[in-house]
Amino acid sequence: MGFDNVAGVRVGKHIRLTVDAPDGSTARAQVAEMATRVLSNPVIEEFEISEVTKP
Amino acid sequence: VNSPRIGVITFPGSLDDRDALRAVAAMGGEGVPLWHAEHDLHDVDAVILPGGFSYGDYLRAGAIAARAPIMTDVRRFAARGGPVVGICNGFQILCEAGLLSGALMRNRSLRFVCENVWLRVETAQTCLTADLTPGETIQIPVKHGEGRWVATPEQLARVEDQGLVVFRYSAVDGSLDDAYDPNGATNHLAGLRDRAGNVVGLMPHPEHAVDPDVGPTGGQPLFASLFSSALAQVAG
Repeated sequence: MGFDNVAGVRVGKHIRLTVDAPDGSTARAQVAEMATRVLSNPVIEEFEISEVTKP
Repeated sequence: VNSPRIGVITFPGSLDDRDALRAVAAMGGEGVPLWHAEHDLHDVDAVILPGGFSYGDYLRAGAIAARAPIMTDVRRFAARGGPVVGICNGFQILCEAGLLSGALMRNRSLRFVCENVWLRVETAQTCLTADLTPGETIQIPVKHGEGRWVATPEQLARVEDQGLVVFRYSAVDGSLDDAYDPNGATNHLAGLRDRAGNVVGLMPHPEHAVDPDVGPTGGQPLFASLFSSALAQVAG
């Protein structure tokens, strides 16, 4: 298709969570725990929590 | 002679639970169906986690099943030495549960593989290989899309140093080469055990290899080993 300059490609997962928490840092801490315990597998994956916003 | 009671767990999306029960019966054992949502192993002497796509393999293969209610009981059973065997998706579940090291990734070919393979037995110190001799080869089919075993450098060093590899994909004479490895697994690993040897996971399907009318019979000595381990467990 003519995209000759692509040197690498990687597909990842994007998981959007809506969390009911008193504040952003609590929500972030809970999401970090979920990411560590179930959402990611540390043997093959790493995660990043990109944003915490109120609706 | 007592026939061992072998539990086979059905998760939503398990496919090979009936074949596993059938193989247990064909080999002279008593198959006991177990249900993922229960906290009851029905006093079985060994547990099989069968192949399939538990919970649709959403998130990651085996990830949700590893956190199913019955896994609490499987963990307890394994901790006191009970034989636990994970086949294919069951192997993925045991890795996700932390009962075995590493993880299973997409095949190197990016294609689903379905073929008979040869396995070289690496150790007899497991509930699944007690009747076999290290170095001998057996033929068993594989059928999977995510069977490439990988591990962190620390896990890999521990697995090799402690002799935890149970099977490697090989030629019929036991020689190793990428050509004999259907998924590109690290060090051609096809099966893995825990330190004690009572928990074993493997990608190939011994339950599809017990009936000479439909293919190879490399699964027979594995079930025989599992039965003797299960009965020894009862005696102990």
